Amino acid sequence: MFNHCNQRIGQNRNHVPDRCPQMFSTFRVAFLALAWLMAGNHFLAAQDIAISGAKIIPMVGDVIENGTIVIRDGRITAIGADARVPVEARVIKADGKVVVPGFIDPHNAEGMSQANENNPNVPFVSVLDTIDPLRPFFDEARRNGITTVCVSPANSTMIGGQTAVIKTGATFLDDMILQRQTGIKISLSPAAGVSRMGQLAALRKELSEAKKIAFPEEKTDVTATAKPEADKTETPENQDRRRGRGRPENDSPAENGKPNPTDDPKPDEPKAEAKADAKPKTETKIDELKQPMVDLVSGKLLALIHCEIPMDVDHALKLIEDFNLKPVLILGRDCYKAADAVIAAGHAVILPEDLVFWERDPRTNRDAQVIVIDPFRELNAPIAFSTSRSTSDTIGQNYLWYQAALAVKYGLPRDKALAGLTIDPARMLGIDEYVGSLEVGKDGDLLILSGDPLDVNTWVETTVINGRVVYERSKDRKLEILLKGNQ
Amino acid sequence: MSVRQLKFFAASQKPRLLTLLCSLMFAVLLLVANPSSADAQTLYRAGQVITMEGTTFSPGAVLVQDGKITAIGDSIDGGEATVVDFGDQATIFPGLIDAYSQAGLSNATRDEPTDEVTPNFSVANAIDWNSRSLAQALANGTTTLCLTPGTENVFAGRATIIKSSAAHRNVVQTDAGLVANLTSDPTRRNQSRQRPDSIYMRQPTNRMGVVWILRHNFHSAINKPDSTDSLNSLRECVNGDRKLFVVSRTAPDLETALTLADEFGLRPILVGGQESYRVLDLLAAKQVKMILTTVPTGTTSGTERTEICLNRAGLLADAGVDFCLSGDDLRVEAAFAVRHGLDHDQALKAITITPAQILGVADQVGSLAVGKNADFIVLNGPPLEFTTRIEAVVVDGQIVFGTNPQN
Repeated sequence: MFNHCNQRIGQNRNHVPDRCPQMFSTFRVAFLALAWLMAGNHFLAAQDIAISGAKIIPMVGDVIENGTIVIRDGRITAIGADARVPVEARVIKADGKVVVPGFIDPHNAEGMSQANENNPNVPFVSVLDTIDPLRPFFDEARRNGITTVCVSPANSTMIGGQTAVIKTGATFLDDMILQRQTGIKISLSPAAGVSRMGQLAALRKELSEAKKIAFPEEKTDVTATAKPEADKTETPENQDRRRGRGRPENDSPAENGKPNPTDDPKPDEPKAEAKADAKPKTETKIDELKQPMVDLVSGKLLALIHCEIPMDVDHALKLIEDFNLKPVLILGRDCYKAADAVIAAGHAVILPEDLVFWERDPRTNRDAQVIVIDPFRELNAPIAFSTSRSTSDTIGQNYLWYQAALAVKYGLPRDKALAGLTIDPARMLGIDEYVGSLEVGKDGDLLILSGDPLDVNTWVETTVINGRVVYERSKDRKLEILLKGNQ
Repeated sequence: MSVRQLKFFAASQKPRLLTLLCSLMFAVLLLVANPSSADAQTLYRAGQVITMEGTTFSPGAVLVQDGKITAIGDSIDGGEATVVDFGDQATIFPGLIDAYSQAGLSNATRDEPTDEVTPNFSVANAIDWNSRSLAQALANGTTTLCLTPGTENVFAGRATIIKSSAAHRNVVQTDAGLVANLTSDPTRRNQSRQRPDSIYMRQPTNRMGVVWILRHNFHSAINKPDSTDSLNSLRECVNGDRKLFVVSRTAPDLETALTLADEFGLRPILVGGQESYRVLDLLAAKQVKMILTTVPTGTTSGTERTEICLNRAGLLADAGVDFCLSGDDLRVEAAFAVRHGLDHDQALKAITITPAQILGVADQVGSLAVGKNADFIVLNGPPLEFTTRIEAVVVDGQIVFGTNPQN
């Protein structure tokens, strides 16, 4: 998959190959220009770019002073103090600037036109059907350095649906998708009119049913029965079903702007089913509506579990154990009291938007300041941050980088805070193969910052996604209006 | 000294040893627990002392006696003073001042629903010293607060300036000025809306009414010298004997506030100022003082849905308008103001000395100088970095939040 030389000519509709200048002809230029024009908005093939002179914080590996990073076909091909810059690459001089991986928001419903589904049990719905790429959220994400976001249903639905990981830098959803199915959002905080025990009972029932389907003869031999199931879902078709087009193509034959048929979920799903029909595996044929829950209990989808209060954490840990889930815990602010249990279990954690708050003891009425980060400093698992637009006290809580700065303020080591913006969320979502750090072979998602990532005066100067510049502060007319007012 | 005394007593008056020992220990305890009592002096040391008087000492030290600063400089010989050393990494910075706050006032004490003109009501009688909001203010480094009544009355009442430390209940100024609201807020609860049969409890029901009530009452205060007592405070505002805070957010409200000010010869302090960026020239020409309230988090804010202008503070500074910043966490307000375009030093002033000047208490608080109150915060980094934490808060010479490094 890292063999770019073989793919480049086929995929990169934009640039002139550097190794064969003799092929450079007027005809070819005209053809390329025509292709470029026809591509219009869909045109997302990356230009080769090189960023030079910057201090690079790759998140994996050492900081490189005065480094160069080269992105070809949307992937990082070279990084280092002496990386060779291809002649045809667009060079962005970033002297005195700081380059970091694009930030990752691991849990956000802002990209959705509606954050919650009313029906409490909808594992079959997908956020992909409700993401509106023109919501201001995406614009602000690019401005504030968020290049990847795991769009998840909000916390009001028991089984809220499938989450997806998308990049923030495109006009059409299909061009943004990094992973179509990442996990299933589960909320342990009961909806209005439902008791906690009712919610939990219903949840257990759903999980047990899915488990029965996934492992029909569980008691005797779990692994034996699990095997054909795993084989079925890990066919290339199924892998493709989970992968989107929002990252640079590698070996899938998407050419000339036509979407790869296996990339499109709608034509894809009947096809997958047809395939299942063709092979007479009648035993393992699973209801389309049930499939996501089956994938969840077979560990193919993450369980993004929202815990509102500390007792939810305990229940979540039991569910994780009983059903062998691959969890990410989305914690409410009171869950700091359950930190010991979380640390013992070592699960990945998304911290609440209130990293510091005041709590009143119900008996003594005594107020005390709670620093949520404090107990989680011991956690030896990925930690990520979340933002809030509706409930925030200060403008700071709108920004992921501010949350990281706040975490450092209250004692989280700096490296861990920066990891919480980049590699940690990538790891917890299982997308660290593609994003989260600046390494050769990973997606060309990076930020050119005017200074230190957590400094008060630092701005995102340029946001690059898949090797494409999607935001430039110098051309950000909207920011200008926000700063100066609509005079 | 005390050891020698003990030995002496031990040798000569053995029977009473226990009593003496106890009383001596008690005295020592008292001294430790209350370092700035009566004659005791405390010397606070840190890697840096930013005075906001134009000088920064590094390293720096502040000598405190009776809650007042008696000496400040690079190195002070404190004599027998108790030394509290916050370390080389620490920065001592003046206690922050919030010139417009409702901390410590419960919702029930902010607004009076039965009457729109209540200029004699004073928040001084409604402070809950143990409230969370005051503790929160203290934890955020705000040592002095101007508490004001809410925004739902045209003449809402009188403001009070206090220290946020609940232990001392220190009221700096009981009567700090009259608060008037030239906003849409006073109309909010008076409209019939769903109930056409309802009897209006009070006026106004629209913004024209707000302005009329303001004008009418000032007019009465001037032209009817022996009118009711409630108008005395208005008369004092007109005579310049009392401060007048006028809350206004939109450009038309700010303009109207200044028109009324001209009409009655008032010198109001404008509070809010969300749309002040639209009337910069006017504000500069009138040389008004402003208290800017917090930057909104959404796209629009407040009752009037004013639009966002993130660099409001920077634009006002460029236009030459005197202003300070207000909000729950003043360091965050100032940091974002700097991020959005305000000069760094001006931002520091806007949360310390400028609000003190606007409130008229700059002789006591707002900067670190000999004779002023020993109110300061101890930081572990530059004051306006998001990553900087408050290690301790000192009010009137005593550590009231955070830990004493010597204990």
